[in-house]
Amino acid sequence: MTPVFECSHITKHYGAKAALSDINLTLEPGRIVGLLGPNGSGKTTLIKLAAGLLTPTSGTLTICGETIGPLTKSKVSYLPDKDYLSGWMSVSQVIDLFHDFYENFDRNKAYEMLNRLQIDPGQKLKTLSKGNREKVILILTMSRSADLYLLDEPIGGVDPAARDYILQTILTNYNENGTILISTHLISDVERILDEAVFLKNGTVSIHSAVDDIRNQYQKSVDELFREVFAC
Amino acid sequence: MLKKLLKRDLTATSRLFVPMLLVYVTASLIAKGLLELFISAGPETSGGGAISLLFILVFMYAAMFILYLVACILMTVIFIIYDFYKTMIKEESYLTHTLPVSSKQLLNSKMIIAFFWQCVTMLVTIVSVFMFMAGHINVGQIKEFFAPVFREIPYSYLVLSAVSLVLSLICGTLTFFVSMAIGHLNGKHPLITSIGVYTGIRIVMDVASAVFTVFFFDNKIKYTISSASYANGHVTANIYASYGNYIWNILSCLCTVALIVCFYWVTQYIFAKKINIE
Repeated sequence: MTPVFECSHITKHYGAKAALSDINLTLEPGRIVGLLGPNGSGKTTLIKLAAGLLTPTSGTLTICGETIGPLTKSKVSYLPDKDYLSGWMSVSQVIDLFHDFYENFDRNKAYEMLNRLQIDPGQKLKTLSKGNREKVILILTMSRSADLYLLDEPIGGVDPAARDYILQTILTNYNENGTILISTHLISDVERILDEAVFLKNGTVSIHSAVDDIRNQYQKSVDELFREVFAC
Repeated sequence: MLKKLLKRDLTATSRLFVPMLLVYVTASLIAKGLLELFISAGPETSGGGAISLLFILVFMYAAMFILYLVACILMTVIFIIYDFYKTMIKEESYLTHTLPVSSKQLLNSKMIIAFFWQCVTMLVTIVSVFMFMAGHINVGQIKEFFAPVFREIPYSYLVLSAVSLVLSLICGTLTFFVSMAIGHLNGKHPLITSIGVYTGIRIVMDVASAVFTVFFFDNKIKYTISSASYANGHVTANIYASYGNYIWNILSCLCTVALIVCFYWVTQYIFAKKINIE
C-alpha cells in the first residue's frame, strides 16, 4: 500500500538556522498520528512542507506517492494555526469557495455542523467571535473527505470544553480511510485518540511509534514520556 | 480551475474597485452639474458677489476632481499590489497556495484581473471626460480636432502604439508581482525586501532604457530623414510614418515582451519551486 505521507531526508533551513534536519517519516493510511513536540521543534514547518507552503532545503516529500503540487493539494485538508480567511466574506461564501475548488468537499456536512453550532451562514466572518471563526475553519477542514488531514495546533489556545468539541468534530467527521496528522503540545488532551505518536525534538524525529507500543515499552503514557523526553 | 480563480479574484477585488469607481462617477456627475451651473450663470460669473462664490466653488471642485482622477489611477495600482500581497504572501496565502491549482494558474488569474481593472479605470476616465464635455463639443468637432492627427499618423502606427500600451501595462504589473515574489523569499521582511527589489529592477530598467535611447537616437534621426526624403523628395516631417519610428517602437515592444516573459517565468517559478510562506 502506498504511504499517505512519506518524507525522506527532509531538511529545512531558515537562513542559517535548521528547523528540520534529515527527517525520515512514513505514515500509512487510516491512522491518527500525533506530531508532538515543544514550541520551536519544527512541527509547523513539517506540516507546512506537506501542505505546499514551504519548499524543503533538501530531501523529498510525497503525499500518496505524488510530489507536492496541485494533485496532492486536492488530497490534503489543511488546518493552519492562523486565521487565513478574508473577513469580508460570509460563511456561506467561504463554503461556496471550498465547494468550487475541492471535489471532496461536502457542502451538506458543512451546513449541518454550522447548524449544530448555531452559526448563521449569512454572517460575515469579521463579525464572528474568534472562537466561532476557528470553528468555521475547523468545519471547512473536516467537511472534506481527504486522504491526509494536516491539523496544526487545532486545540491550542482554546478552553477545555472547546477542546472536547474540536476533538469530537475531528473524530466524527474525518474520512476513516485517510490519515490525520495532528500537531500539538497538549498531549493529555489528544492521547486518547492517537494511534501513533511522532516526537519532534530540535528538528529531528526522536521517537516514532504506535501509542500502544509506547505504553508497553516504556510503561508510561504518551504524556508522561513526552514530559520525560522534553524535560527542561 | 482558472475560471474559478478568476471568479474568486474578481469578487475580492470588486470590493475595492467598485466603490472607488462609483465615487469617481459621482464626482464626475457633480463636476458636470457645477460646470453647467457655471455656464448658465453667464459671462459675469467671474465678477463679484454670489456669482464669484460659485466661480471659486467650481474652481476648487475642478482642482479636487483632477486630484481624484490622479488618485484613482494610483489607487488602481495600489489595489492590485495590495490584493497580490495579501493573497499570495500574507495570511490569505495559506488558502491560496493550498488550493489544487498550479502557480501558473494563480499568476494568470492575478494578471487577467489586474489588466481588467486597469482597462475599466481607463474606460471610466475616458467616459467621464466625454460626459464632462457633452453638450458643448459635438462629435463633428472632435473629429475635426483629431483629423490632422489621423492624417499624419498611419493606422499601423496607431495599432503599434496600442500594442505598446497594452504590453507596458502588463509589464508594469508583472514588475510589481516579480518584486513581491522575490521579496517573499525573505520570510521575515517580505515587504521591505519587495520594495528594495522593485527599486532595483526599476533602476536597472531605467538605466537600460536611457542607454538604449541614447544609442538609438542618432540612428533614429538618420532613419527618419532618409525615409522622409525617400517618400517626398525632400526632408519633411511625417515623423510617424518614418522607418525609424517603426523600428524604435517594434524594438521597444520586443524588449517589453522579453521582460514580460522573464518576469512571468521568475514569478511562477518562485511560487512553484521556492515557495516560502513563513
